[in-house]
Amino acid sequence: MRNTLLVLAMMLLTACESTPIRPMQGLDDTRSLSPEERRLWHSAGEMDEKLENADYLYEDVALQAYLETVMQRIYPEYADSISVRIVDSPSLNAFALPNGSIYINTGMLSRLENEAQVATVLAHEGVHFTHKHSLQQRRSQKNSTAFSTGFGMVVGIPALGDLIALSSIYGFSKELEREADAEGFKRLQSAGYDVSQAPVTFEFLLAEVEALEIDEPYFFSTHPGLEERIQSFRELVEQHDKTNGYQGTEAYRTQVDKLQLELLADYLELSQHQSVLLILDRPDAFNRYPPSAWYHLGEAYRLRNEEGDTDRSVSAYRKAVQQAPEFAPTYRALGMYYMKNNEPVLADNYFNQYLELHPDATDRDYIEYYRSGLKAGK
Amino acid sequence: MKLLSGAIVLILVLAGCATTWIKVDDAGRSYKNEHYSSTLPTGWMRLESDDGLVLSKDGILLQYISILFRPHKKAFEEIEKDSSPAMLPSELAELTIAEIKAGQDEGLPSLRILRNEPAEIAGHTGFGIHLQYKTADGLRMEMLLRGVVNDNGFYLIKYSAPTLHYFNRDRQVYETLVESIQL
Amino acid sequence: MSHHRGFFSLLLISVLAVTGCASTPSSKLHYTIKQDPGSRPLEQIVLLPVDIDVYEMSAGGVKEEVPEWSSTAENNVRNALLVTKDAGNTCCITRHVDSSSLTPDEQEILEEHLAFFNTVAANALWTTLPVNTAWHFKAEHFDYTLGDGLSFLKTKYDLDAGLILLGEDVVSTTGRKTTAFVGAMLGVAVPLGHSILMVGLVDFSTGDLLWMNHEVSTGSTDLRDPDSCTEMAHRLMQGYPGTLLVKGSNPQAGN
Repeated sequence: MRNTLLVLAMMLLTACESTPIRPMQGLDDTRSLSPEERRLWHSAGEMDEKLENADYLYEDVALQAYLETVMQRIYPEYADSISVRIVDSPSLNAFALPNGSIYINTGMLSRLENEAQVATVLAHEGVHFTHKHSLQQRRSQKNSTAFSTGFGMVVGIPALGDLIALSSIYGFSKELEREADAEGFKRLQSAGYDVSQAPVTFEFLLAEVEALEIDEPYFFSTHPGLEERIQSFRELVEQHDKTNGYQGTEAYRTQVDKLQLELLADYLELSQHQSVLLILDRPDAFNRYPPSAWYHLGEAYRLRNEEGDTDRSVSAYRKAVQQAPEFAPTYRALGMYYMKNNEPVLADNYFNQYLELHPDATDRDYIEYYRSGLKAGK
Repeated sequence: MKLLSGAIVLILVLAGCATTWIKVDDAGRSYKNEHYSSTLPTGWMRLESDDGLVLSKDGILLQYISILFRPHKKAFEEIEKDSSPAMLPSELAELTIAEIKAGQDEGLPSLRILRNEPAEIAGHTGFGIHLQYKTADGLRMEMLLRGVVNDNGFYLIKYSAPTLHYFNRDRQVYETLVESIQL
Repeated sequence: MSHHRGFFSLLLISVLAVTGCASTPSSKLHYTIKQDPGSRPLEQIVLLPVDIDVYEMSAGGVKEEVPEWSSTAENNVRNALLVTKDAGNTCCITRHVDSSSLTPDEQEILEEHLAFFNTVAANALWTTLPVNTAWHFKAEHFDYTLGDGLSFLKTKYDLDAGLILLGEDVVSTTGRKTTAFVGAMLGVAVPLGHSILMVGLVDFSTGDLLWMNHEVSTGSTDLRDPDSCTEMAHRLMQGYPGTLLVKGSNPQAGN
């Protein structure tokens, strides 16, 4: 009892920050930061530097400029403060740093269908900056961990503070994320975008989360439940003017579709065949993907290796040969298939075609090794 | 199969887990277990752990050689894939690279494959990979990997060291050890 | 400039946990100097850019770097070392290298070598842990090196060797100190923070780590305070073999 009283007294004495944090009112607010904010911005600046020095970023000047234009349409008054950078990662993620650096992954970009959807994501992230969510979250952590440290000591577990501090970069609280959704939606509408795309953005992400059984922290999974968010966006759409806003499908795909094959190759390199199948194993997939993506579909079946997948993969490779005859990797894949199925002549022919189409192939040594084995009858 | 397994081993040491490093002398050069045998470099230190055999001359943060054996079932833990005796060298290399990338800690998006080609271990043809990455501090690290399968399972012999000074200095020790391996 | 030293700090703090206090000698001397003190004559020894991060720790253990404090600590350490003199009043370190005087390529090389020193130092510390008796031959025959990548500092700037200094200071808020006070009453240890300084003397021609030392203080040092910082820096420099290495000096000076 005495110990409990002491802990409670200590918590009262502990200087919990109670000064309200108000959202930014304009660009001037970025120039008058409190000491607390300056520290956060300093840490954010170091993270910007680390991400760049560690080769995390995807270098595409035109794509980055395009995304900056979208951001400036949503947040015109913060054009000099908010920047958009692209992370070279196939995962579905986007995040904001307290200094206005917004990051979005190539994986996320390649999945979205139009400019209104990427604007939904960028509008949401921008609110984390304008409403100082990092500062709010940090204060909340300091106060909550002070509380939990006190409580933890009573029950003999003093280490909770460290765990909460370490997990701060993986997302904000549900309350702050709901605010980002709501305020971001307003920005989307003010910028003239088709707001009906906001729930659509999350509907197909939900399909992906369920299909791939994603359980690690993501743009959306530490956030309010996806279904809840889709419902709240639908309600917001109902309440607002239904005049069609700007979708920007063509403009978006012109900039982003170059990522498609790169992302498919990334997934295969990570042996994430499920992601490739989710994207390509549907009737409308090849409306957006070039015919050489039949090769990637074939590879995904090969890696999945379930009953019937060998036939499916060969069927896909053959479509790639018919529709994209200049795409070299397909011939290598067919060469491997025929080699494993004891058809050396066919195998060697396909390997030969692969090397003729791609004389600088980095795996030439493997192919030559296989060909010498085929010739020796192994 | 994390690239930073050396650091993890170090932390385990600090946590007080029992580990016994032994210096390899002339009498102790020949090493044999149920899966393979090899000739170890004199003057190096060796450690047997659940992961396999680890060797180092100056400390595991400066260089280490490891020899791992995995049964075919879930040979690749991170990507949850099996190996098989019939697997082609390029397929084995492909899964090894996927395993490394899937298990990468923060700080390895800079991973580059410098070389990936067929290579011999104990008369079997497997793969040889040379890769480089940068730590979060900007320190370049390099790694050589040699892998092969047989009826028993998957074998992986790894050499890791900072690019600065240590990698090239002890590379030949690794190559000599690989040549000595019998499955 | 700030290096990610989370792992290194973890290592040092863990050393404390394992050994109780820093009771084992922390100073390490290259074996060639131990065998023959006059064997490595050096004339121009400089202080390389000092890198210290100072954090504030909240009641619940949330750590935040305070850049102004880091800058103050770096200045304090630099000033403390640049006036270090031995008993014979021969100034050991009179110059420091400002990274802005280097070309971008040179800065990149230096940055990587500072990161490398971090790794080499952590490794050297690990091999001398009490539990690692099998590795103690590395302390007796201390032969770590950074390689010859810093030789451009010799050829371009006529410098023989450099002192690398890295550090970290964690300052507790009043709330944290209150938590610790209450914790002490409950018999629960609540870390109040620490000050860590790590130094190494590198021969630019060979990269050999001629001398290395570290100093750890738990709660009693504040690197933002010049006097407190100077006291810790002077403890750190005990055993510095600099005078042994100055050309023409009495090799016994400074013993």
